[in-house]
Amino acid sequence: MIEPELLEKLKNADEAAFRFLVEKYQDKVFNTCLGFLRNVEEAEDLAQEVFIELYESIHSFRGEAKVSTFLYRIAVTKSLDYLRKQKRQKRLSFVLSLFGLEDQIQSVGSIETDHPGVLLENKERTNLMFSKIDELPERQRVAFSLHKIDGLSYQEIAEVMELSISSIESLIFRAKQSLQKKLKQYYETEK
Amino acid sequence: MKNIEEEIFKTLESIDKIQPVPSNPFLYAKIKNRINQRPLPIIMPWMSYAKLAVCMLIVGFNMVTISKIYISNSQPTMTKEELGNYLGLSGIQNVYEP
Repeated sequence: MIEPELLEKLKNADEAAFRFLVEKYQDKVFNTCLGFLRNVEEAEDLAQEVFIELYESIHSFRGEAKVSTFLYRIAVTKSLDYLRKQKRQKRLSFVLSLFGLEDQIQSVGSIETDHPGVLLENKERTNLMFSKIDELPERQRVAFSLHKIDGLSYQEIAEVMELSISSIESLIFRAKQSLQKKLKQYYETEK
Repeated sequence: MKNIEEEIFKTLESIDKIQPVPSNPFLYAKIKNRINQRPLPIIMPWMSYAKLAVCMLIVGFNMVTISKIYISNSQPTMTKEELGNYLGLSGIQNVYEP
C-alpha cells in the first residue's frame, strides 16, 4: 500500500489500513520506546499509546512528513514525557521519604536496565553507557539514541526532530565528545 | 593510559551491538482493545452555539464601551468657570496663586 493511499484510508477510519500500519511499524516504534525506557513492559505500553495517538490525530496530519517520521516523533515525545514523569515521581517519593511519609524510596526507573537486545557479555558496559547517555542534554540524548540504537540516518533524525542535518551532526558530535569525557572520568576514578 | 582509552572505546562500541527486539505479535489486538475500551468523546452540539454567544457578548460589550468613549469625547469640555458652577464652587477664591 502506498503512503497517500494509506493516509486516505486511515483518515476514513479503515480498520485494515490501521492494522497494516501497526504491523508495518510496530517493531520500529517498540524499539524506539525501548531505547529510551529500557523496560519491555513500559515500552510495549507506550508503543500502544503511540499508535492510539496516531489513530486519534490522523485528521490533523497534513502529510508534510512521512508516516514513519510522524510515528517516530510521537514515540520520542511520549518516551521523554514518560521519563520526565518518572523523574518527578522519584523526586516526590524522595522528598516524602525525608519527612518519613514514605517508608522507602520507590525504585522507579532503576539504573539497571532491562533491555533484551543487550548481549550478556556487554551488559555491564552497556549499562554504564546508558547511565552516561542519561546525563546528556535532552536534544543530544535524542539524536544520539535515534542514531546509535535505532539506526536512523542523520536525514531521518533531522526530519523527526525538525532540525537541519548540520544541527544533527553537531548534536551527535557533541554527544560523542561528552560521552568520551564522562567515560574517561569514570575509568580514571575507577583505577 | 592506553588501557583507559581501550576501555572507553569498547564501552562506546557496546551501544552499537544492541540487537533490535521483536515486538509483541499481539500488539494490534491490544491496541484495538484499548481503543474500544476508551470512553467515546462527549459531543455537545450546543457547545459551539454557546461559544459563539459568548464571543458575540464580548464583542457587544466592547462596542458599547467604544461608543460611550466616543460620545463622551465628542461632547465639548467645560470651561473652568462652568465646572466651578457645576460643582458649586463659584464663590470660592483660589488661595494658591502662582
